[in-house]
Amino acid sequence: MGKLGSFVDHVGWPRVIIAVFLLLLFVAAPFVEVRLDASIGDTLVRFGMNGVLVLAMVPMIQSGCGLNFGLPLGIIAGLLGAVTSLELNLTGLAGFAAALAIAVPFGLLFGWAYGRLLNKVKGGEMMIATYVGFSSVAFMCMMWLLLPYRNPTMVWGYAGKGLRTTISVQEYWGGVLSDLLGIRVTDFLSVPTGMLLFVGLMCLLVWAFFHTKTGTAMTAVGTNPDFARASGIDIDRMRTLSVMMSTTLGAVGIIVYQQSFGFIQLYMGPFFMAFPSVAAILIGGASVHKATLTNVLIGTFLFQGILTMTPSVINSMLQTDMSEVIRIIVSNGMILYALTRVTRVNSK
Amino acid sequence: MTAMRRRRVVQASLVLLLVLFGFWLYHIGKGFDLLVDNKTITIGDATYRATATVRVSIDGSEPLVLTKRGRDVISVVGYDHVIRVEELDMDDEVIRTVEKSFTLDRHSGDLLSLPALLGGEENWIVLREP
Amino acid sequence: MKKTGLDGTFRLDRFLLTNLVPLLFIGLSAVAIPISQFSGAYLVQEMMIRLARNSFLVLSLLIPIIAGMGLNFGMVLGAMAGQIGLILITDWMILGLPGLTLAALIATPIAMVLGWMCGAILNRAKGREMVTSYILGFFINGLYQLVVLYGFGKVVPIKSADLVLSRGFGVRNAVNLLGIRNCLDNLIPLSIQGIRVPLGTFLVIGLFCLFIVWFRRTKLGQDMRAVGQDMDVARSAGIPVERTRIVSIVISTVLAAYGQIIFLQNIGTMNTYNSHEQAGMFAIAALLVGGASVARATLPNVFVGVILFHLMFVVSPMAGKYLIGEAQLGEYFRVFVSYGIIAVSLVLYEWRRARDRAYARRSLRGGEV
Repeated sequence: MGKLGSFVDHVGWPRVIIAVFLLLLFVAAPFVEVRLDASIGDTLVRFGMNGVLVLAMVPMIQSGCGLNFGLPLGIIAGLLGAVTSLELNLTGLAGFAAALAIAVPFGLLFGWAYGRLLNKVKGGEMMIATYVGFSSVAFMCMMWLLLPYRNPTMVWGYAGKGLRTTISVQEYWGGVLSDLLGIRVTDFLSVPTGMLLFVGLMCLLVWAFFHTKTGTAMTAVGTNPDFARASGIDIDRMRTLSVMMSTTLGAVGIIVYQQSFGFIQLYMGPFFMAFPSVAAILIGGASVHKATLTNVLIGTFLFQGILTMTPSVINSMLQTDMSEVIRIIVSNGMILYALTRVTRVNSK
Repeated sequence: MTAMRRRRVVQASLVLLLVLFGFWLYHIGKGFDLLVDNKTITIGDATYRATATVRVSIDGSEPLVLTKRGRDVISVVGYDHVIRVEELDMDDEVIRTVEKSFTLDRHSGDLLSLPALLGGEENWIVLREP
Repeated sequence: MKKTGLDGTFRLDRFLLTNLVPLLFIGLSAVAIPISQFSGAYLVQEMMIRLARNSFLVLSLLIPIIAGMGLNFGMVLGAMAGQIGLILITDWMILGLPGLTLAALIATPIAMVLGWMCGAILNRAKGREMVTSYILGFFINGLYQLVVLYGFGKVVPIKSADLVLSRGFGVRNAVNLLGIRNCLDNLIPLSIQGIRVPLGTFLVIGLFCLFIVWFRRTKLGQDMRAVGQDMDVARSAGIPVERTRIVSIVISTVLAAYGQIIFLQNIGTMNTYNSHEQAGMFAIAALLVGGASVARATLPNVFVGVILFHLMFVVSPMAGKYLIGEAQLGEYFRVFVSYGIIAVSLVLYEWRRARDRAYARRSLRGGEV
């Protein structure tokens, strides 16, 4: 019991509960006639879709900028890349690569400005990040109406201008990554190998970065700013760099998401997209000040697993759709837990 | 200790007072949508025929004219009301006026049968079959 | 950074910085009103309605600001409590002013419990109250949906067929509040030159302003101010810091519940699952537009803010339509403005705070510039 207790203490109650809950869902699935292989397949797909978006949390947490509620800003950079790639009528992997190539500079640019802003408001980053995200989404709502995109599959038919709220990428580069090297295990379960490899590659890059000199300096800024300052690290520069990385990863992440999802969602689409990613990394064991790649992987799997399993299993058990409510309670409860825990350690 | 206890008593009675206030608000604010009905109706063994056009108002509201087989809704607030029914002839002259006060409660019906009322039936407020 | 003394330019700087937001809004309105082609009488009437509708909600934000807890994004908790009260009285068919009062009476204990919970959680997240109360709003929203969408009609009996979803439990998306619609606004009918004045609501708002003025002078109000200025100093002076903070949030939550009830009696219909979310955002944006900051808010801020913010709100879709031929653009513009204004105010506040802190640190190190 003592060993179990200390294990639970170490991992944290909410995580244990969520993991056990997910396990129960998987166990219960066959009994309520939910196909296990389909569930696992869905979970894998959603894991791949969201992996990079969750990864985008890591640099900012590590440099002490807190949870990146400003993820929508990165997503907007990604959306710009995606629609521009469609405007150029590029298809297949070339289209996907072009979307990335266009999105990354935007991500770096937005990240730079956003990082400069956050440097001015140290200590209040999270609230400001939230509202920077919201207002940039609202600002882009106007831009999507006004920007001169002309591809007929993207704009409203009758007006000939103004981008649609959802744009299909199926004809262009839908599924290029997911189907790459795809392995079909059963009729319902196919592994999106290409996408998972891409997520792995991104993780590897981030991992490698945090083992360079700059990367360790960034971590130092997050864990002990005074020490970092004393050892001559330019704190503001490190923070800006981390925000640029987070924003760019967000841009890449949304493109990966779209190629699997099959649609680009504009206007208010990116509005609440930060919250699932924030919740996922926290469920994976990250805190407001520290996040590792393990947190990303475990968290994405657990959170997306629950999102996949609750609608199917709970619905067939209770005959009512409670998945939305469960999602709201789990994700926000998790964020709340992390926010209140951190300060308890700090205030001592 | 006594000060503490007095405080408790005051607080408890305050809460009680608020609860009572709530019940009172419920009582004075409770609304009913009453169906006034001028149709032939059978209550128990007796049948009351709708014979004429009537003019009806509750608590002095804007009078409603109901022809034979007419039915309408009057919204009222509170439990105690006075209904005034005027029987009209062909030239819209009042033949007879009946005024009656009545009390609603949670279980009473919401269908006021005017022929029954005019015919002197005691249970002229009818609970509709759901 | 250049060290600036208290000379004239610095003060002008400061003035512009503190009043930047209201000045910006006055400028925007000055441009947008002529473009929108609305008549003056229409705008005055519209502002009158919106003052009555929104002031109380905005006022409920003041007390936590005094206690140094920033903008109480947790006011949506109160709004939810208010809505539960309204759902119940609508089901029971309690009409008019008694119905409104009963809804408030039912909402009070719910709001107190939620507020107490919110305060206790915020005490564990000192220094990040705003983001925590913000997320708490979402979290409680989940519980609210659980109760209203699954509990109402199953655990809590709901009889009215107009309220319950066809599946037999759960409250419908839109609740019609015809029974209490405008009952407070029209309590004392008054019309000045064809403009209807919702005097009843204004009286309630006025009473509440007096309450705030009085409250600031009470022992509790003074304690709150002390806690807001410096928690450690307040604690050493024997003020129960944690308790004071909780009380401030409880008061704010209860008042937000009343505010939401007043808001919805004016509107006349309730979006069961959205009304409360918008309430929080608009109230906060309005307060900030009025020139309040995260640390300081006054009664004039509230009223100036409500008028300026809602002026923009009414005018911008039409202005967008006449300017660019697209009303949708104006809609997005006002969404952008609501969020942008909160973002700008938060940035200004945190920026100033960070600058003060950096300055304090420098002077601590011994006058190094």
